[in-house]
Amino acid sequence: MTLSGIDYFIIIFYLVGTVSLGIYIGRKMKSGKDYFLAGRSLPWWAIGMSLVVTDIGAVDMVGIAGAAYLYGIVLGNYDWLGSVPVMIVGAFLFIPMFWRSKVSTIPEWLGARYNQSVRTISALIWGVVTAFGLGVTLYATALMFNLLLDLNPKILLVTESQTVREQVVDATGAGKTHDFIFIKDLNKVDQVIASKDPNLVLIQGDWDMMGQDHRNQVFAFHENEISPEWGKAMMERARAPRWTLMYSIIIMSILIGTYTLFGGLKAVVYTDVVQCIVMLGGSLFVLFFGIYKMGGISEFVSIIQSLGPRAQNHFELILSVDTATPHPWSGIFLGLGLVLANAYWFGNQNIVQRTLAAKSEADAKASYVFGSILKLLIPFAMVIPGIIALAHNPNITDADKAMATLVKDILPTGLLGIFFAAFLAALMSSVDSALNSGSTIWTKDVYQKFVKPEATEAHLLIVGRLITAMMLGIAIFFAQFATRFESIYDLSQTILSLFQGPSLAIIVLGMLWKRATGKAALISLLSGVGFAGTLMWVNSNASIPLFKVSEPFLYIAWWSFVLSVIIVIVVSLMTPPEPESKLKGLVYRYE
Amino acid sequence: MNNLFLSATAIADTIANLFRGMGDVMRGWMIAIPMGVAKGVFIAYFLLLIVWIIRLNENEVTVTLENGKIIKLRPYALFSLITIIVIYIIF
Repeated sequence: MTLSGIDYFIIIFYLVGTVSLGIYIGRKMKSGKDYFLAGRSLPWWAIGMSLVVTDIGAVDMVGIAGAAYLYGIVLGNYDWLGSVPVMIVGAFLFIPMFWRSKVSTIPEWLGARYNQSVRTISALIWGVVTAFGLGVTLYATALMFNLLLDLNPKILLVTESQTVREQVVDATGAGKTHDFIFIKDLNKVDQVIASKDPNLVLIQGDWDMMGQDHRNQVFAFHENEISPEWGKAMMERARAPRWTLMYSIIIMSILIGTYTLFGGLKAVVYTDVVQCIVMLGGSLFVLFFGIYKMGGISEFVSIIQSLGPRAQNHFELILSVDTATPHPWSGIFLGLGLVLANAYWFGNQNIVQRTLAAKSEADAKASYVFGSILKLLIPFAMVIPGIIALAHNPNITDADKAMATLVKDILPTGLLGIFFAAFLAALMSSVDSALNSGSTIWTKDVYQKFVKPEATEAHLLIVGRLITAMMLGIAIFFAQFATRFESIYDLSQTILSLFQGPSLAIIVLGMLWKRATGKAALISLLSGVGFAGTLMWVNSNASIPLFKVSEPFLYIAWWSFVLSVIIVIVVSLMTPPEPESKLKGLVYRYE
Repeated sequence: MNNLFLSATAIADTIANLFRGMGDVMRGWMIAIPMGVAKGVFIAYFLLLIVWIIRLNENEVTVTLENGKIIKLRPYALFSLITIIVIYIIF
């Protein structure tokens, strides 16, 4: 994607505006309560917009369109089933209960409802996963950032063999950090070197390197030489790229860290409002321009239908159990609709924290209903453009490049800048929320509880800011290691699925069933996470995988939830009930 | 190292075999469900929520903001759910 002066102006204006707004909001910050819960002053409309934009990261913005390019509208389930109905349930059942209990974190609520062991374990799990997840998010977003701006160092591979191409990509391990340019014709090497300035040139076969201008980066090789050691040696001998992923990660971290560190949750939520408008606006521009360029809706649909079997289910929301995609209806309904969606919207500190900061219970409820209405739009803004990209160009080999290819080809100057600002908005809204919620958990549930229970609000503000800075540092450090994982999105989803099911089970039963006891919750949480971990381990180590889908996180979440519910019920009935006085205000309709 | 790998695979296979039979049976049941019925399951879930929203007490679905403004949330919640049903019927 090549940006013009107007595009750069829009992007810089957006970035400077967002960071300034965050710092301006943070200037009157005086206490931990201001920092973590915005002084409980947030209105419903700001929370609603913040909820929606926080849920959509930059990886989702590009990755969902890429997945929609491959699988179609089935990706819409993640919002239409995975958000809208669940947010309605949350608005009238879970969120008001959390708000009335005046807690700062979900683990704090678990501590009040069950016991301090459940609180601590839950806080540690969330705290660690948030810090680690931030690193994964930063890394994955930097990948998308480099992809959109074409910043990745390039490797030019000259070979006629498709097999050799694949072997070289595997051996160098550069598929995630470099872009490959493949050509068959040796005579075009100089031309490609001049125009693309590759970091490394690999030419298959005997070739005289003498007399070339780019000797320091050009290597000839034979097929039988290719091995991981050879790939590593080639990468080490290549000259250093002018731009690496780490530069992108550090720049993004500084921008986001600045306003989150100063402004806390209030800055996060109000910058999210701007980001929501920019992100939805930018994505809807792509939708309308895309449909317009296709010649209208009916023309667009007929182009997709003309693509034959590969796109025959692209307008089907519900796919059969034996579908070749990772989205069978059974997994979508049970794993996503009944477990992961609920765990996310009721049990994720990232999300729930902003409703705890609502200025009234009314605002907390209204924010979720408003958010559910906004969520209706998201698949139109994120999923349909992926299908438009397929209609526009069915020959894109890397689906993650679908969105970038589409916007590059169809958007005029100026609108490219808006789209890129939308991408940055999606990135910033997710990272700032994770930073703030992680800092809240570490400060309130770990530092204040175990280190300094008598800490003043001013002291907690300082600690909160320090922890925010530390988390950012840890995330940048972790981001380097994220390169070792094949699929970043799958990794983060799989880690989440380990404890989302058990966590949801104890929250739901704790709120709806007054007989649920602390001992039962503790045993259920530990065994549920252990069971989910075992399923994941068995699935990847057994000679034949346990699950028939390639990414079984939906099923792992479902089965660990089922087991956890059973354990809570059985153990609760075997242990003495909690005192009635402890449960008032913490169990539904039990005031 | 190879022995360790083999034993990990053997343990994983043993555990997997415990679940596989039950899993295959359940998978067989799910595959046998016609797609029309599967879509019906989704829509029934949304309808169930609509019934729940309609049956909620008025004070649970009506909120008064700090500025005194009263907002009835039930119509908005129903709008979201009915829109979703329409979407699932279309696609």
